[in-house]
Formats: sequence, structure tokens, C-alpha cells
Amino acid sequence: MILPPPPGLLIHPHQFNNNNNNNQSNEKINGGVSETLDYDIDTMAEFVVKTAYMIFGIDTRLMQSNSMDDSNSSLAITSPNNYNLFLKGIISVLNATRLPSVTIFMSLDYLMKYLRLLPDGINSIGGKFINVIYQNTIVGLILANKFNDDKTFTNKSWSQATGMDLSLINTYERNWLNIFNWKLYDDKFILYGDFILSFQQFNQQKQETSIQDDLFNDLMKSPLGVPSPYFASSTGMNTPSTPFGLQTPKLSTLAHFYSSPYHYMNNNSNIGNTFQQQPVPNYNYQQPQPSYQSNFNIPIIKSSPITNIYNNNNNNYSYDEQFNYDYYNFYDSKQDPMMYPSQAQPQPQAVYPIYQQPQKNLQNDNLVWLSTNQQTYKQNNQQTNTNYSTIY
Amino acid sequence: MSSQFKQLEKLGNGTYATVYKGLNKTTGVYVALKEVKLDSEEGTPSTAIREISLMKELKHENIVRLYDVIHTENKLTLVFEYMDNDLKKYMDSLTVGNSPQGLELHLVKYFQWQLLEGLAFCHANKILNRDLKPQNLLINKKGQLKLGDFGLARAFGIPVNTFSSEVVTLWYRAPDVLMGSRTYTTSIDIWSCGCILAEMITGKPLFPGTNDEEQLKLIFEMMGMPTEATWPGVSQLPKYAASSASFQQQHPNAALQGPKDLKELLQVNCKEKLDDVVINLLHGLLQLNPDMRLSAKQALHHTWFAEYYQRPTN
Repeated sequence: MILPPPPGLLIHPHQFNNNNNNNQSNEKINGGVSETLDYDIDTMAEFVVKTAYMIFGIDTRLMQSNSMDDSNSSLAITSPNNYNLFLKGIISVLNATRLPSVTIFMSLDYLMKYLRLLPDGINSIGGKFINVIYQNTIVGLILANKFNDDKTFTNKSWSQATGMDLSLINTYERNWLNIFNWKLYDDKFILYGDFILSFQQFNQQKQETSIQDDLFNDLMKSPLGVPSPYFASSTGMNTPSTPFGLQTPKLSTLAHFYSSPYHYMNNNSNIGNTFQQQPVPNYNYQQPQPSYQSNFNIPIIKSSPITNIYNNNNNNYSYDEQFNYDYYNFYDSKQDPMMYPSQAQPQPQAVYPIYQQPQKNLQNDNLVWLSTNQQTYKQNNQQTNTNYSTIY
Repeated sequence: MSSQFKQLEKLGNGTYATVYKGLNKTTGVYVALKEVKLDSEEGTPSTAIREISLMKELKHENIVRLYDVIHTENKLTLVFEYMDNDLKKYMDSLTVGNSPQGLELHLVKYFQWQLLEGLAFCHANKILNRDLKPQNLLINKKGQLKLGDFGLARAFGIPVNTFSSEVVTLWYRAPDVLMGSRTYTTSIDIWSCGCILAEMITGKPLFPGTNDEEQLKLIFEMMGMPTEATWPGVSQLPKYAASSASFQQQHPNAALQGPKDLKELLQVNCKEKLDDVVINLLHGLLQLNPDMRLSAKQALHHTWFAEYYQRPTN
């Protein structure tokens, strides 16, 4: 049985280059929040997706084996296919909005808090399904943008950039604010410093991974450009790089939400006071690899054979027999109805918003600027109106 | 829910909302109801999101208390503590004929003290107000003054890379912001406090410019043209070169470019005798170089306020 694609997560695969690095040079966006970004969009998108998964209690490195269990549901959060849709959705959103990194980190902080505040956690909002994680990640971004940036987007623009229905965005936004009791700044974003550290580590590990990828390119590289170690089966590949793998005790607040999102702040409430300082003045990322092993404090990783393999073997080329080729078969997008929704089920055109509305529509020509003193400069273009509001 | 409040007369239009007087039918207490019409395309306005989330963190006797938020699909109502008046309307009411009157100096001092107390609390909580002006300072019959509008406020504990330079009503906008600086911090609010102090003394706005250029010109004529010597880095600001050139052109005589005597200028419009202490405080608040401005906390320790912080303890 073919389920319809998740609402707000219909992204046509051809919209994206397999090599995502081309995105930025090809699509120069002028309409976003920041002209110059302090991050690489693809890397940040991957960081967002993996962190969101972690907040939802799923370790992306173990996803392939999990996906076997859930393979009967096409909305399963653990399906690599859905992972890729999510990733591509976030890449597209970041390209369109060009949010500063602080806003993105704040959105993840909100997502973490939101799940913690819900009476029944993830189950309160529909469970571990790909549309749930995607839509709530987006609402986190919307609220962080509105709270933190002087240049903000209207919900209609967000709807256009994400494919989420406008009324759904409005409803979710209200629900979030209600659950938060509007307190979006009650801890002064104390984990900001931790997010900076985590992202720096993630960047570094990604670079290391790409060097390895070059070594055994054909074997490792996934067809959609996602670094394959993250989809390694738990018995399969070595995984030198994980989003929060290089944990030191200083970072343990973030590590805690691997196992217990409810208590992640209890221990180190003072560590976030790195605001306004240059991040990480005294943290040495260049420490020799054997030494970080002792700093792992993530239960999942400790118990995972991945790290053991990594520790022990220098014959990196020996695992091809353990490699799950079904993964790639599963991945063949031509066989996957979700990647070609029009073949599976005719969909109204409106559900392909990103695909149908090229990025250039997000440029300044058609903006409706809303200002707080209610001076509205409308240069309406009914067909391609993208609304921004800004504090002026 | 909203039936808990009886809506009374309109009090005014805020930056993005209409404010009514309201009566809490259960308690009989007056409140201010700030109503924001929701546009489905915009969603919840960012101004409302900020004002509410920031004011929830700001519980202080010199900041108007936000009691409640009523959020429906079409309308957002913020329930605030009721205040009798705002400082602008109060000063307007003192006008005799066409000539504005300053407040009595002891009241100026009490208001300025409360303004700085409220602001120091904001800054200690990593929140910039960014829109201090007499209209946004609410007062009541007890002589209390409270900061009242946080529609432009924002947090500053986190990076500042998208700060807008289009904040603060022109007359109260700091010269660094006027010249295009986007790295401003708490000093932006302090400049406004200086302008408000002078305005309370004389009843007239200190720098009533009609556009950015004129605003800078008025400031420089009074305070002198800043240079690299008096304000290291000023020449790097986007609009420094242009404003400096036009100032030199209008005031070719270098001897007349220096700062004017603030005491002399304010005394003209003040019935009481101004002393050097208040002028000294004013200079501390109105430093052109934002790094040289007093902090709210420092200002509260200024000698002019000695009678408040040196209250006898017995």
C-alpha cells in the first residue's frame, strides 16, 4: 500500500543536485536574513537534521537497522529515504531564508524544550513520523527567526519555502507559544555555547569523513550525497564521525539528550555563559584521537559496536562484506513511490511549493515589507508575493 | 476568557496594536488591554512574540507588568497593569499657551531614577528596549514611572549580526546608530535616557530632527563633531564621512565646532537653577562615543541621585 507523502515534505528529488555543494554557487539568494553566512548550508542542514533526530530520540547512525523494523510505514522517521527528504527540505529552507547560525541553534533548543514541555512528549504531537519531525523543526525555525532576527519572514513565506500548509503553520505556532507559555527566553539561551561547540566538532568530523570518503569513494558514497557512515548498520561500518561523538565532559549537557532529554540541563547550568565571547577559546579539537575515547559519555555509543570496530581495526577496507547493499536498492529513487509522488498518486500542484517556486521568487523584487509602525510598502505581485516583515 | 474583562475607553495606538482600558470583572482592578489583530499570512507578529517573551522575564516595579496573554485565532490580547498616563501626555498637559514647561527638578530626578532602575533591570536581563521615549514611559498618580513598550526590544546576550539600524524613534536615536552602526548594545538605550532627561528639564525635545541628516547635525552642533581622537573608530561608520563633510561645510569656523554649554542652553527653558551635578550626569549619558556612555547602573550611582541611594537607614 502506498501512503501519500507527508504533508509539507514533498520535495522533488530532481530539484537538488546530487552534489549539494553546488547549491550555494548556483543559487545566489538575496532575500534571506543574512547576506554572508557563517556556515556551509549543506553542513548546517545535516547538523539540523541529525540534531532533530537526536531530539526525537533517534541516533541516525543506527537508523538502517531500525528502518528494518519500521519498513512497513512509509512515514517512518527511521527510513533513510525520509531522512533524505528531510535533509533536502532543510537545505532548501536554509537556502531560502539564510538564517544566522544563532537562530538555527535556537530553533533546535526550542525543539528540545518543546518536546520536554509536552505532556506526553513526542506522542502528544503524533509520534516519531517524518512529517512530525519536519514540521516541528520548521516551527522551531519560525519562532527562533521571529524572536531573534530583525528581519523576519511571514508565515506565508514560510509556507511557500517549506510546503507546509499556512493554516497548519499558524496552528502549530499557536500551540508552541501556548506550550511554552510564551517564554522563549527564560534561560537566556544558556546552551548557545554548547551548540557552537557541537557544530564546530560536527564540521571538523565531516571534513575528516570526506577525506575518508575519497579513499573508498565508490563503496562509501551514498547515491544522494549523504555521507554514508551515518547510515551504517550497527554491525557494519566504522564511524569515526558522529554529530556529538567527540564529547568532552564540558559538552555533556548536550550528550544528555541522547538518553534523557528531560534532564539535560540539571548538571551544568553554568556552562552556557559563553555569550558574546569568541566561542571555544580553550578547547582543543586537535587532541589525538585515542584520547577522546575516554571522554565518551554517551550510553548509546558506548554500547555500540561501532566504536569498538573503530578502535580496533586499521584494516578499514575489510567491511565491504558487512555492507548492506539492500540499503542502496531500497534507495533507488526510481523504485520509490515517495520520490515520484505524481506516479504514485496525483497531487495538487500546490503541494510542490519548493519545486514549483524557484528560489528567485524569494528575492527582493516582490517583497511586501511590513514594519512595526505599520508603514507598509506593498509592491504586490499576486503571483509571486513573498512576504517579509522586519522591525523598522 | 476575554469576557473576564470589560473593555472601556481607547487609550491609544501602540506600535502594532490598539490599547484599551479594561476592567477585570472579578477583581475590580483596571487593566490595559493591548489588542493585536492577527493576520493569517503573517502569523503571530514577531513584535508580539518578543514583547511577550521578553516582558515575561521582566518583573520589576519600574517595568509595566504583563499579567496575561489571550491568544485566539484572530486576535491577541495582552493584559497589562493599568497606568494613568504617559510622560509625553503629562508634559504636554503642562504647556502654558504655546510654551512647553519642564517638570519640577525633584520630579525630574525621581522619574529619571525610576527610568534608570527599570532600564538597569532590562540590561541585567540581557534585554535592550530600543524604543525609549516619553510616550513609552508610563506614569501614575503615585509618581511611579514604568517602561511600557517592548515592541522593538530584543535580547542581546546572543549574537547581534542582524541588528537593524532603524530602531528608536528619531529624536532619541544615538549618533552611532544614526551613522549606521549595527554593533550597538546597551549604550543605545542610555542615549535615549539622556535625551529624555533634558526633555523633562525643559519640556522640549533636545534634538528634534526631521530626518537622519538633520538629526545628526543637531547632535553635532550641540555636542561637537566627533573625531578619531574623541571616538576611536568613528570614521569607520558607514555614514561618518558624509555627515562630517556636510558639518564642516555648514560650520567652516573650526572654533565654533566644539561642544556648546549644555547648562546654559537648558537653563533658558528651566525655571529652577540647574546645578553642575545634573549637567555632569547628562554629559555622562550623552557621550557621542557609545563606549564612553555611563551604564544604567553607573548612572544610578551618580551623585545627583545621592538622596536615593544614601537614604538614612534608621
